[in-house]
Amino acid sequence: MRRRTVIAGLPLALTGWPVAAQALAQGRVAALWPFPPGDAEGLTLSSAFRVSMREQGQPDIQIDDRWGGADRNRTRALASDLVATKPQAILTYLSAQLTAVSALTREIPIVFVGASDPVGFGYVVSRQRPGGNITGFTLYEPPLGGKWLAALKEAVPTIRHVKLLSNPSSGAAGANFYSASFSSTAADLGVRASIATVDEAAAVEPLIAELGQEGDAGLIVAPGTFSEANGDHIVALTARYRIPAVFAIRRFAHRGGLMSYGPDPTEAVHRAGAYVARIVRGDNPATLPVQAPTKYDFIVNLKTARTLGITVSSALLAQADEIVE
Amino acid sequence: MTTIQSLAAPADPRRTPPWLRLRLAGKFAVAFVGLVSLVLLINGVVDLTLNFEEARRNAIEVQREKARAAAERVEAFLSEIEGQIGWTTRAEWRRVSPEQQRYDFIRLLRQAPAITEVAYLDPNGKEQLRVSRLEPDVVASGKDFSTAPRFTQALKDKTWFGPVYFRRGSEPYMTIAVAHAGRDPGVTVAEVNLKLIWDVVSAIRNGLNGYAFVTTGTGRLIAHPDLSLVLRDTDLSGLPEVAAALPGTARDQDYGITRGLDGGLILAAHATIPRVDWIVFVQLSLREAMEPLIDSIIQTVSLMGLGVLMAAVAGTFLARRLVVPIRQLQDGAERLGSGDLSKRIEIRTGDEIETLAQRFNFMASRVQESYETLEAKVEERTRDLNRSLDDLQKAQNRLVQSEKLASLGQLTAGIAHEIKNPLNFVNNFAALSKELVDELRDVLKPAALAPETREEVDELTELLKGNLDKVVQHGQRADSIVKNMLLHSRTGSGEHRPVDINALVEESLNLAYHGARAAKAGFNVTIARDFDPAAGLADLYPQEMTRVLLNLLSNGFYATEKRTQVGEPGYAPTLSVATRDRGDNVEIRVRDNGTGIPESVRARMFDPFYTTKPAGEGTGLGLSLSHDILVKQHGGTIDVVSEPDQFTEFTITLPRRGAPTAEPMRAPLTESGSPL
Repeated sequence: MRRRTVIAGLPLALTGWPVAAQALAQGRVAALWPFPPGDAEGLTLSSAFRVSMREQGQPDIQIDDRWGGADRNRTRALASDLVATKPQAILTYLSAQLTAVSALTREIPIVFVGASDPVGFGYVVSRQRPGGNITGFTLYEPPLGGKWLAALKEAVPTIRHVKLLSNPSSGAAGANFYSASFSSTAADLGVRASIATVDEAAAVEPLIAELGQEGDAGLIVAPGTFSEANGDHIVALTARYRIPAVFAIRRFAHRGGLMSYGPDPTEAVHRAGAYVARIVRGDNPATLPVQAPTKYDFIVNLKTARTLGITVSSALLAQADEIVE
Repeated sequence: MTTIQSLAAPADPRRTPPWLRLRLAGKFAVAFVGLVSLVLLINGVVDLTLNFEEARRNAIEVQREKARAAAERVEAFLSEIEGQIGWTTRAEWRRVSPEQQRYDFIRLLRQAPAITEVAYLDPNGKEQLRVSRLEPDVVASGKDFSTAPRFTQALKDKTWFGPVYFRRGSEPYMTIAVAHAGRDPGVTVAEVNLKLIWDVVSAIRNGLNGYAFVTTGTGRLIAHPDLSLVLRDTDLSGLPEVAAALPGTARDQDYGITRGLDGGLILAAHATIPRVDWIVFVQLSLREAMEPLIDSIIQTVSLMGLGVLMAAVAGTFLARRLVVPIRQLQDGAERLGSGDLSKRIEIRTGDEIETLAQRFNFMASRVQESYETLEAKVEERTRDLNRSLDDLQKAQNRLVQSEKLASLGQLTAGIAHEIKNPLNFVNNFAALSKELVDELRDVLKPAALAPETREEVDELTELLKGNLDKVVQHGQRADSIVKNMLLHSRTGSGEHRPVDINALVEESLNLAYHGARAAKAGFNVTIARDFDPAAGLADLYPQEMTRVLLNLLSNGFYATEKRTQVGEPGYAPTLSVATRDRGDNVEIRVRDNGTGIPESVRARMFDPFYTTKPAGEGTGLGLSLSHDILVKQHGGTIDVVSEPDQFTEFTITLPRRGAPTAEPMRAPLTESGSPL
């Protein structure tokens, strides 16, 4: 009797461990996106995240995507929903999403993509050792302000005034993230620089109309949730008012913007996927350094240039990583 | 005393030590469990030793592989950077237009993603061009780097790798300066993002605590999962594992077990990157590396425990199965030992013990059989002994009887002799007196006497003569009796001869009848004679045979008289004697219709001194003697048939040519002899 129960129990005991291990491996993570459901960019990034997780050896993990759009309230509601479900890690895209989620939890690891100044906003202690439950990947760096301006000046050497269209989320405590390099480069290049902080779609048109009236003016569209949401609108306005514009977000060069210089967000999300996978495997986000992109792509839309009557120099074309024709 | 002690001491060890005095089940179980445990233990130890070696080898191999792979990736990374920089370091590059130079740099940036910024220093160490991914390009800034290591070292060593530094806090960078070819060369300086190395290094995950790091040939840390260590420009040349791997030491062993940064024991392996003389270390805490071994130990120990448990269960079970029948066997043997042979041992185990039990049972039954046979034999022997004892007693009695008879014979002979002389006087003088009476009458014949007187005298003389006749007659009878007494007391004088059976029987009958009449007045019996004329002669001792017949006849008379005394109406006492010729044998039958012999008496009536007569009337020797004479002396038989209160018939059978062994039975009697 005793022997029989022991033997009968053996398979159970032997299979018990793998079952437990499997249960542990089958985790659940969440992602909060600043796109409306069905948005092409959102789907691209989401699938990049999935691909990355699969590549990192987590093919069976359950990924819970939430689409909040640019609506802050909706984003906050989704964030609290997500936190309540207690996933193993949360991926946030852009600052507003990180702000919403990080305010709700100090336990669930958060991997962000695209927070402009994580140290300045206090999300992490230092980029090297974040020290808390938050780590991630920045997309843009302050010197890019100058880089964008230089690119615009090189493309349209006659330009005299460049306006930086900025988001309120892209700088801590009122200071604009890019203003220092933007201003200094403008001074170097002898261009008048102005910065406009916008968080309403309706406020964009008057600004661009004004630039159009001014003539020899250019526009730099800084990255941010607002820009993500209203990029197409801005592209249409610049086309209407024939304003050469440099976008930080690369896809708007494809969609009619003159140029874009910025990192590939797909790659950043892909790398963030690696961080999420490591965290799921047990790494501590406090010790994973915040990373910056290593590569920025320069895209020139020749079609737009022709529409605007701009002759793009061969040197500039040689610099371009991508040319849209 | 000492002698005794020294003698007593060696005797002790011979006694079984207490621990050996376990019961069989215990011994068996201990032996079984012990053996199984021993085998499991040996197996476990061998297994563990092999496992340890294998686990160690495996762990080292894995570490080494990881280190090599990491080194290869780092090397590939570096060589690509170097190669990419390489085509801006041609001798004639200095002479191309600045615009072309910028274009080349932009191309370099595009092709080498790890390079974030590239600058050209002219042969004087002045910066002529800087192209960056983040910042606007700078042309001819004229910054002086002529004393900076990136310039001087690059010119000296052709390629210079600067220390690791960080941009924006978390991006590890290294300056790589490559001197141009040709005379009076410039230097291309590239700021290289080492994140890829860091990615490579930090992606090497070894269990929970294992990690990899890269140092230069002098022990300076280049890449480490903990970026802050790299930021602090840590010198790890003091760390044992690093020290062992540094150039100048024995580098033939690319692995080792040493103490790590945190002080714990680690298993470390390393691989060098020859191009830059960097070393990639991969380490794992020894505990984790040996985890498979610990698992194996746990597995072995639990298997061992399970094995011992099962062995204990099986051992106990088997021991019980073994011991219970042995106990039964023991009990059975005890019962047999105590003499209970009827019980059998019931064991149905189907093995040697059952066979043993069957052997025991067989033995028991054999012992039982022998025991019963023995009892029967003892009984038989006892019976034989008793018979012998009886025979002996009989012989002794007969001997005593013979002695008595011998003295009786002597007495009788003496008395008869003494009586015979006076009896002769009586007889002789009575005969003489009769003659004298006749003479007296002759004398008186001439004398005249009155007729009356004469008549009276004649009458008187006649009376006298009559009386005297009677005296003579009875005197002769007495003489005959005495003569017979003498005959009887004297045995056959050793002479056997052919004797006429009928005459012998007749003589004996007369003697007996007269004896009986003489002994008892008024004795009356009808005697029937049925003699076979063909009875003829038989060779026998006549005196002895007469004694037998007298005995039988007088017994018959006694029996009839007894019955007469009862006063049965119409009873006629009869004694019949018959002789028959039976060829080689002669048969004599004596039958009376007296009281008969009861069954109880018949068994013992031939025993000496056994008598049913009142004291003084019989000696109890008659039949005993007769039996001896007939059976032993003459080789005949004597049988008796009797019905109480009806009849008794003795049948004597005598061989005619019998008594070949015949010899005088009673020597004392013959010796006494008869004087007449």
